[in-house]
Amino acid sequence: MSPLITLDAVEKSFGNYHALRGISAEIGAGEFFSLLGPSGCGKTTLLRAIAGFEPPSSGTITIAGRDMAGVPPNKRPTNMVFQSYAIFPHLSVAENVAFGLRRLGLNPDERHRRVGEALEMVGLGDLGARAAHALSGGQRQRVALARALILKPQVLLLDEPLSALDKALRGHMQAELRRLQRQVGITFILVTHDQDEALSMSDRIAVMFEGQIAQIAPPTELYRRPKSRQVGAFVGRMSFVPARHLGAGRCAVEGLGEVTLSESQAPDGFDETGVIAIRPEVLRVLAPGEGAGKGAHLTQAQVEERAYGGETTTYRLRPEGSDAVLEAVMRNAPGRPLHKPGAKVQLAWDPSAFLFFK
Amino acid sequence: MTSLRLYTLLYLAFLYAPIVLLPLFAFNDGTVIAFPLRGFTTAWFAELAQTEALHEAAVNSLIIAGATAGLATSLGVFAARATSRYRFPGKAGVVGFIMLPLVLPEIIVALSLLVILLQLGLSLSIWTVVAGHVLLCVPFATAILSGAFAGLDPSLEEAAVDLGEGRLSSFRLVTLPLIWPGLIASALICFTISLDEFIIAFFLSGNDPTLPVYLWGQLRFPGRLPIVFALGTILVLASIALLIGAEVMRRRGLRRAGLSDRGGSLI
Repeated sequence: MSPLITLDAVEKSFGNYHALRGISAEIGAGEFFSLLGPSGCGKTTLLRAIAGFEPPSSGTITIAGRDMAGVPPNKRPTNMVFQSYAIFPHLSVAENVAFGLRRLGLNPDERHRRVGEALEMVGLGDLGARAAHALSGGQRQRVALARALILKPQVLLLDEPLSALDKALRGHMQAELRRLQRQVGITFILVTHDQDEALSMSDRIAVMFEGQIAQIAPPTELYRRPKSRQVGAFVGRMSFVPARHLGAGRCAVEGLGEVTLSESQAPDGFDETGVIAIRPEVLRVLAPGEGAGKGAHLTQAQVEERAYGGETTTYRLRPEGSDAVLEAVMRNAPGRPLHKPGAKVQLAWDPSAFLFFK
Repeated sequence: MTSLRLYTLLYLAFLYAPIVLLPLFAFNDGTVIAFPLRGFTTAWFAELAQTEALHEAAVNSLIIAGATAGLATSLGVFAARATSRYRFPGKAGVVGFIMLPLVLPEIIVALSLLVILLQLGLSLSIWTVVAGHVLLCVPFATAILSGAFAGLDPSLEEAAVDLGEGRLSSFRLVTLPLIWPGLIASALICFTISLDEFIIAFFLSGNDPTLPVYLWGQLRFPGRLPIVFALGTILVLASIALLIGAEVMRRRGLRRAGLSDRGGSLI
């Protein structure tokens, strides 16, 4: 598959501030690609560079084999859903959706048909006549989607489209966006600071820090094999425990004793001192009398804190005789006891999911 | 609460009661402006209709006020859009420079303009008055329109460009309808400021007097005073009608766009 979008050493400076520092990436046709990072990492600037609103200071952006240098936003095969949705408040829903068709010179019947189609696609089939300012947040977003998709762009750019919605609606719209992307089959590029959103929706995710891409990977790989400690800490939760490398993958881990890791478990290589990174679901807090299973290591630990979250409970644990703090998430299966802070528990773990970072 | 209400009423009466004197003496059958009133007449209005010089002054004033409103509001759109949308070096200084005529004594502005125009060898006409009035009105237009632009999402124009429109048509199709209430407010304020401005008009109008300049000239003839009052009555009624009309249009525009009231209001 040849890439639809190629970013080559894209840089963007605003005065002395370098918003983008050498961004290179390839995004495929029909891919759901997310730009994930904390605020100020340059993800929105990159999206706007692809849209044509912020021409790069240097580097090239190629879309469908065409260099985009000097091509204004209205001449690019991209359309955008803005963070504020930017619904034209003085127009009706149908007029908003039809806005992009003005330039195409369609006859009224054809225009009407396409507006109806677009509204149908986002589930707003009967709201065409409504005034745009009389819409709820979720409906505004659907109008913004219909308005952008009606032009049949090759790429849809979405700038934090779900951040203004409440939590329940956000989950619903995530599924909706995913369905829409499969239906129209075009490339979606989503900017988000919400890792759950990125993980659940994307084919691939680019994690950005300070104007640079730290890692591009599919969600599962990003979660299981983050390339750096920074990426691991940003995507999902992770406990970091001080460790010393004794040679040949053998590590002395504070509170957990000695473990042996493979080369692939040290993405940035072994060093004399470093940290062991552990995902919360890798640790299991055993119920009294529960077996650990074959090959599992066992550690005595004390519950420091407990956060009950309905379907799961998050424990903060301190292995006996150490200052290391570990986080473990347990599903609250029926009959499973909750451990109080201060309780002594058995911790079962498997080092094959550990990672070593310098 | 009641005492506060009473104070408000007295305050408003003190401000606006003198205006009631205008129609009172305009319809009074006598040239002396004093009580008691002598009787009802419309003779002053009839005489008004026959005074050729006054018609010329009125036409001058309307042309000047119209041109000033249009020019100052257009310039205000540029200034307001630039200051509310972009950051650029020296912005504070530029804004201060635009707003400067608000605090400069008008007589200084008028004198300086007169000196410059004469140095340039330009003859005085209604267009030199327009130039002076535009200078005076741009700060008001900029201030009113900044309010209109401040409430506008910058993404709206970008969305229009993203959907295929050019910069100019995006402005026309999206921004213009949304700042329309502010435009009306600005044009109206500039129109009224220009209409009753005296000092600049007096210095720069040459042989084409505006209404205020003409009225000032008439004050030398006590017998003409009731005519001045009659003219004043017409001007007050016209101003009120204009204000109400503009406010109605502004509110209709707001409702159509479903926007909340966000400045630019005159009342």
